[in-house]
Amino acid sequence: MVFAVSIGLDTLSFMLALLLVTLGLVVIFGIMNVINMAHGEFFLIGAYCVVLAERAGYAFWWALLLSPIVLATLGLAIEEFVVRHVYRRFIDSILATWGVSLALKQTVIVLFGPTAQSVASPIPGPVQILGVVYPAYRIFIMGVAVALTGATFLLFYRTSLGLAARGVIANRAMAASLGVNTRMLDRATFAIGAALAGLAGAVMAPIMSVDPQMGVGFLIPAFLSVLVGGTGTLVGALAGTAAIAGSTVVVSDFWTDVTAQVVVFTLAIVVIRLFPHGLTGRRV
Amino acid sequence: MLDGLSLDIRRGEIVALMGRNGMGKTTLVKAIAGHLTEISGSISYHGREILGRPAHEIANLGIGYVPQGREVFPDFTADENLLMGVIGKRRLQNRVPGWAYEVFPMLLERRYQRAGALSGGEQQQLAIMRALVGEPDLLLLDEPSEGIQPSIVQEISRTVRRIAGEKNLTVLLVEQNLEFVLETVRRCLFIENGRIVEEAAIDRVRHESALARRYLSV
Repeated sequence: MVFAVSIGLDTLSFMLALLLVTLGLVVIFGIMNVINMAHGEFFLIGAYCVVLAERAGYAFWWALLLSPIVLATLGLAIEEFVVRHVYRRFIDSILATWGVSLALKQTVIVLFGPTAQSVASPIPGPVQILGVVYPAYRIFIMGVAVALTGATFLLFYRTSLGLAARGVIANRAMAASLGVNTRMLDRATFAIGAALAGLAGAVMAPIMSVDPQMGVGFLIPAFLSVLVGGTGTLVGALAGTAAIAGSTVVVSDFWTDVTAQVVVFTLAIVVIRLFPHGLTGRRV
Repeated sequence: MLDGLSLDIRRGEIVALMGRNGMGKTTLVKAIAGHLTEISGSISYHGREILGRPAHEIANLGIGYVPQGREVFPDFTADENLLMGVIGKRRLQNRVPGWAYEVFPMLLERRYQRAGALSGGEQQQLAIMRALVGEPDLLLLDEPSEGIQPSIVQEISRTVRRIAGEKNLTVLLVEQNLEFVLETVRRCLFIENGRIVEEAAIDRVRHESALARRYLSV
């Protein structure tokens, strides 16, 4: 029983953490169709915002405010100078954003050095859940993931701004002819995606090793989640992260992390082969 | 594709632009709506130059556009499509006015259905209403009768005439369907190789069958 609860909590925790990291990608890759190779660095810079805030003597919580602002600003700049020129050019967008990724990572190394920084957990100590002792901060992460997913859903599916953003992506010329300023919405959508990635980085910083490579580990499972779940919908991202996180945790609990990687990749390939539009995608 | 074309339309008038395929009808409408960048010349609207301005600004100046093929947002509901017609307009509130459903009652029945699931005629009505809720002064209608059943074509004709009268709306109607044009407009322009080659009152088009034959059928 305790083992089952423990696996269940681990799965839920990893799934929600992955969902948190995937949210920004759902916006930029799933909704805008831009393959952003620098997404891992957005996450990374979000985490370094915590280091920066703590060095400046501010409490951890201020970083949760700082990181989305920094990343939204950075996102606006990258959209304007790079991404804007490669919309709807898949190969070019991979190359261009990969360049951005390298530049950002090196900048972080120049500013903070190549070694890992550690961030103290702002909510130390465990809590007991159904007989299992679990770190309190992980529960906090789960809560943030659920809240942010809800907020993102409301923003894109229940507001005029979200409707306009989806309209621009569905049919740019028509949206423009209805008076929608398509450039403004590109900027806003990309900035929101970047801000979400940054916030995820800040929230995850206390449970990870904050180093220049930390973005990579989550980038691949996050992309896989969007692909497996189906692009363009938040429900798809939910299904995708559940599938990826669930199989990862269960396999690595019974065997090893390496086996888990192999199994998850194989499963992802099979799913994408069978459902090219993802688990929730409509067949066109 | 357009060659020194010039035309004037009076406020509140419905004018048809007719011609064979490839003569420049759609090109002209796209140029007015701001979708052609590689074009020189001048298009003035209420005395202001609009050529070279982005499409969203042109829309906000009061030009509504119903493109060929309708281009509704297939994954959005009918209501969301109508909402798209108002959220980009600076001077309008972000909600669909009630009269939209009075004009086309079908839209009320289908308001929560995906636009992609509507019939061609229903999509056309939706596309026209999506432009009308934006309260344009000039409506560009590109082949609204294409591939649509005759009863709905008649309803569209009646509605366009009525709204043009009520709201003092100017309509530029691009069409190949002569019957629809005869029913809807009072003045007709014929385009050939990017130029307006003939202009005729609708009675002349109706009685001089040689006219329509020359510019429409091969």
